[in-house]
Amino acid sequence: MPDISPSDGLTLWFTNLGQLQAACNNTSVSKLDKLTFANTTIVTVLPTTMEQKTFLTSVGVSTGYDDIAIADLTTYKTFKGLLDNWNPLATAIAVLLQSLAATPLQEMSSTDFMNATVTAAFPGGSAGPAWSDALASLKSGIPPKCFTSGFQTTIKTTVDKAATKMSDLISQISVLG
Amino acid sequence: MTIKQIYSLLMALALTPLPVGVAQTPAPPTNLPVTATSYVQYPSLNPVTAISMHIGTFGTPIYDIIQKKVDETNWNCASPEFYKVVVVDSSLKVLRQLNVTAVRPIGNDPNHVRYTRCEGHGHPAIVDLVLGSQVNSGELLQVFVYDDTKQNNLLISSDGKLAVTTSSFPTFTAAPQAAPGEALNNGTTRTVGQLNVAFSDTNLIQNSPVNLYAKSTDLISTDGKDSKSAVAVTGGIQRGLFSKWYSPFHFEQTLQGNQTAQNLSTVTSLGFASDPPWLWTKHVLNNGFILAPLPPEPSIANEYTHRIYQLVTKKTPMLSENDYSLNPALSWSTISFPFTCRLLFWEKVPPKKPASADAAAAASTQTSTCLGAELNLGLWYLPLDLTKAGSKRAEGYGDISILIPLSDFSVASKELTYVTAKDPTKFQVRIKYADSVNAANNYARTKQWTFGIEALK
Repeated sequence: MPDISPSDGLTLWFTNLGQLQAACNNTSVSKLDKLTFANTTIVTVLPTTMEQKTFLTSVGVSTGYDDIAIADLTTYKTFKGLLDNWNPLATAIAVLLQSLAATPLQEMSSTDFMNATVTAAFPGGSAGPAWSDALASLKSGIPPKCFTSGFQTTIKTTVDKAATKMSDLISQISVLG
Repeated sequence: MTIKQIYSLLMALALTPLPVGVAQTPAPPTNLPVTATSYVQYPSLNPVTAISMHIGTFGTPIYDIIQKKVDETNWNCASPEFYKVVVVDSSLKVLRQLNVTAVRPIGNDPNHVRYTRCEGHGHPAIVDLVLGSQVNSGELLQVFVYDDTKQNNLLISSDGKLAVTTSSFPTFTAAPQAAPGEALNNGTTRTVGQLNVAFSDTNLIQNSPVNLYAKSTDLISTDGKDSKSAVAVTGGIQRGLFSKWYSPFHFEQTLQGNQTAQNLSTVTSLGFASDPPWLWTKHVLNNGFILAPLPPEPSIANEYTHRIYQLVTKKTPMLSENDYSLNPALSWSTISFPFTCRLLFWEKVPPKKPASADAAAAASTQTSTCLGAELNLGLWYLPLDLTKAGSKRAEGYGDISILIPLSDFSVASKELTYVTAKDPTKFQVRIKYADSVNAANNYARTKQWTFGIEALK
């Protein structure tokens, strides 16, 4: 069995995001909330080559993502885009939701799980006990600023749509909000 | 034959199992996502050329295959024995095999311990195959992942379309050219042939704790008196001074002159640069009075030149046998004064809730405020160069700029809305005073005020 639990995997993503924020060595960036920081364009707050290299070194030390090149800071544009390449948030969310889905779906391959409907994974929709557990786990792993009550309402609407696939739901949650 | 008989026959055919010998196993997927990467390891500063395998995307066959393998004790995603990297042509014909010197699962687990294997659940999402063989620009690479160390059973492969554009491998170029009417050192001209030669090896010793490099840029002429003839061979060593903070230093030795060595000198340089940790200043230098979110960038450079032979001509006077310079410098470009928005006639105050992430980031940096500043300071210390008074020469220099966004001016914000409306910091006024010295012109000093309007990218 994997050593990293599904909930640990989701927590790790936000731990990494905080490590990226600290690695910026920028006092204004350190005051941004997590969601704003995640969607900030990297080169606007790290304009010089020296600042970018300092950032890459600190990220390598704190997260272990030590193969990031300076060009990646432009390629992936935002801090979320950058982190998603080394630790995809969608994967962390999908792994967590699969671990909490109806029993037959827990053993599915990831490709089959993504094609399954939300109704099959969480019988009873947003009012069902399975989704309540999943929502509690998501709220526990995602900081409130990145998973606001308004965003949760939007997610709830998606969960209640009968034909929604898990891939659609996971994509929606991965955007954060 | 009745419809019922046809139906029965079809059903019988459909339900008959295939003989074991003709059982079809699905072909291994050929869509392993791979990218070429070239990065610098810290603190050794050794460059690395690698292929990154992206295996952490949930919902893909690649993820499912890796997920099944992680629990098998005889398979390890961090072992080079399970991988093969080859150069292929466009029809996927193998041209040669490349050496994989290391496999690096990228990242730390939740306990801050580096991955040494694939943990499953998408951890790690990237595994790097470090290449130890020369790869030429434009060559196509294909990656194979095997089920066994003998590489008999293929698990996954990439599509063979990966091309490496930049690498850390040695480069060599030689470009001949004809130069009609080239000036010679004796004052005459003649047509000569020239060969431009460039060599570079950015990593002389693999897996060394320091980065050793060598490079050479030469112009060899058919006439030894060619004034353009030049040879410059450099060897150097560099490394990060602190293991957890970017702080590179380098020591470099260059032998330079012309091809006949009538002009020959050595240049020794030693340099260091680093941004200081800055988060501790978040209350002192990030408030309503002063905003300096990023640190100043200090650097220090030493250069010692020893001229062994000098070719003195009408155009090239005799220089001193030895020169030494010490050049500490500091550059600070993100300083602003938010209080000026209220103190002066400007009313521009950042909105409480910025419209976007970038606006929020900009709102807390210099570019969003009413008055900004930039500062550069430095010193040339020349102990071998005495002044008329007999003391060792030292030349300080610096410049300071006052920056005002064009949108601060009421005329501009009303009449020139196309340059100030959407992005008020797109254009700015710069008032600069510089007291500078020109190292290339015997440290000649100039002082000047400049005033201009500049567009920001």
